[in-house]
Amino acid sequence: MPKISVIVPVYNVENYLHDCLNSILAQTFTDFELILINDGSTDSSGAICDEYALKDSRIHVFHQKNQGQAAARNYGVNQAQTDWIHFVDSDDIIHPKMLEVLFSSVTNHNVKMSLACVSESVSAESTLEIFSSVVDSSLQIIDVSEKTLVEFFPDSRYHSVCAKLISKDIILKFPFQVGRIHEDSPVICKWFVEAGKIAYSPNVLYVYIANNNSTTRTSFSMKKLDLLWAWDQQIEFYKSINYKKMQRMLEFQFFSSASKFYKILIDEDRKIAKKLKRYTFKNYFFVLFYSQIPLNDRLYFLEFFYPRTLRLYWGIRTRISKFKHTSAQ
Amino acid sequence: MPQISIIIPVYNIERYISVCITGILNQTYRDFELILVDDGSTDSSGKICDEFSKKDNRIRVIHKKNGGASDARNCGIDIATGEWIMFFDSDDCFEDNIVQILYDTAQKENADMAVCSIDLFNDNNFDNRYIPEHFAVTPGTLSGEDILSAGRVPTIYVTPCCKIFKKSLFENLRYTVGRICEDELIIHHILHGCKKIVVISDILYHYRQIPNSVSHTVSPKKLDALYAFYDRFFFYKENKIENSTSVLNAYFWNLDYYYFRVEKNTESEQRLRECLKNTRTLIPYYLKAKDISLKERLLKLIFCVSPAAYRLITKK
Repeated sequence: MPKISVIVPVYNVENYLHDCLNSILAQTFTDFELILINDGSTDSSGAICDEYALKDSRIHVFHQKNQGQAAARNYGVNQAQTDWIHFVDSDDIIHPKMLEVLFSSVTNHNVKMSLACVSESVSAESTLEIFSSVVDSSLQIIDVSEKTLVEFFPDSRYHSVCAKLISKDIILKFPFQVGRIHEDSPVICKWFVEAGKIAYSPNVLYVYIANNNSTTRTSFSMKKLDLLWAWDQQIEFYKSINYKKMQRMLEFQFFSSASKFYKILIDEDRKIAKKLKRYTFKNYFFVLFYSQIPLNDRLYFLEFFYPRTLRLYWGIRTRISKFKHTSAQ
Repeated sequence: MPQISIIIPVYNIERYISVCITGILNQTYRDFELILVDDGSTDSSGKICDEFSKKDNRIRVIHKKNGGASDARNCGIDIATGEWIMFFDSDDCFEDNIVQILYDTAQKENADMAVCSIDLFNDNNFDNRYIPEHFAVTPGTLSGEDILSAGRVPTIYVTPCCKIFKKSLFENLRYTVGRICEDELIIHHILHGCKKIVVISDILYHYRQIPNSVSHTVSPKKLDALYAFYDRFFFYKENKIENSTSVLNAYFWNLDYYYFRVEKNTESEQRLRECLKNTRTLIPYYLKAKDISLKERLLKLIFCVSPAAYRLITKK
């Protein structure tokens, strides 16, 4: 019986899929099942999945109509026959020792979640530069607190389900929201708190391959507004567990994302832009007074909503700083 | 979707990289993504970048195989998500409001590019900064066409640093990999796409000059400078830009300077041959340039027939 279920949602990644799957099959820890969910690909990705399944009995392929990554992942978790889940994005690469490191950390330290670090590259060949041949065993066991989440917030440790090993029951308790993008962070924070104690390896064991076609790279569409939904979900969660610092940080994120969307929407759909502005100011105006956020950041995002007023402020500020510089020189 | 993408190629610069990154994070302007392209560093530069990226969500670190500064910048351009692009060199210094001022200037004037002034300092002698003549710049607003047709493109425009570009300028443009003087090679293409450029006199960028060793022989890669002017001449012709003679002048001046100083070995053989071939393509145009002395034009014709003969005649 396998011990880990590796879940890979697949959608139109024929140029990246071989490298991804090969990196999974090259794992030093071999006791896993690999669940590939072909989410209605229109290129040869589906065929590639089937081709691999014929060669390795650990691989199970499911083909479904396109329903989005969240649905594909939920489906994969439901099909999983083990207690441990590991997600890999179909265009990325994992270190050969990924599963070994993560699995030994959860079994040796009796935790329900472990994670490693992510880096970024442009191609699979370049990943050799990133993966060191010896993975040092500098594992940290952390009791999840607000401080943990604040520390992880800047990068993938907070925002991505990848490079993690999670107990299946936690995911079943907090599954992905179907039909939304930016679906990772709203559930990850819940998983962290539910796990209570986690193992963290500061090694880079996962490499994100910059892909120009992925959802985060394409130009604006209304779907992108799901980012606001994602912030909102997290704010509700932190309110419910009284993590005030995280709550404030996320409220500011909402405000700043809203201001950037406003700037785009004012040209695309004035009505929605105005609605967004009203909503943001009604519910989030107070973030402008949060001292934990640097003043420059607070004022900067206000500028999107009131460009003319803030232009005046920046003009004065620039003149003052120029004056300071010339008198110093 | 940040407004600005700041791209910094990183290669074995562990001595300066922390200060550089901190300088960017401390910028008064906040809405940027900082793309650190680790071009296969063998020292701790890559690790330092990773440590910084854990603390600030605006930082993206790309690790790749070594390909040179051009390749690293191209990599940054490929993945940049901002509407504007700025380049920095990892060993230079800059003011904490350089991003703010360049961005505001470009926005206010609705320009495609904004340029600030630059000074140089010798390693560890920051208080003795100076502006070399070739970096002098007249502040004001002008078009890319103005700069190109004025004659030699001032050096201040050629360096990727101390300026902000609209990302759309790079839509079909990338730095040429495998050549040095790649800045000279790309600049006429960039300038041609700029309807409006603003230049300000504020010295916001400080370029670190590392003393070069003097040598009599020169790397064959310097012939790439010639290639840049060769490319530029035909670019001018194709796009009907005035004053293409100035480009020819730059080409032949550099030819005179570099061709015979290049160390002769197997690597340079091919480049010298390419250079001679390009010169032969250019000579018909040079011969027609009435504002250059007849003697000069004839001498260069001799060069095209036989560089050795040319050398014999001109050597003092």
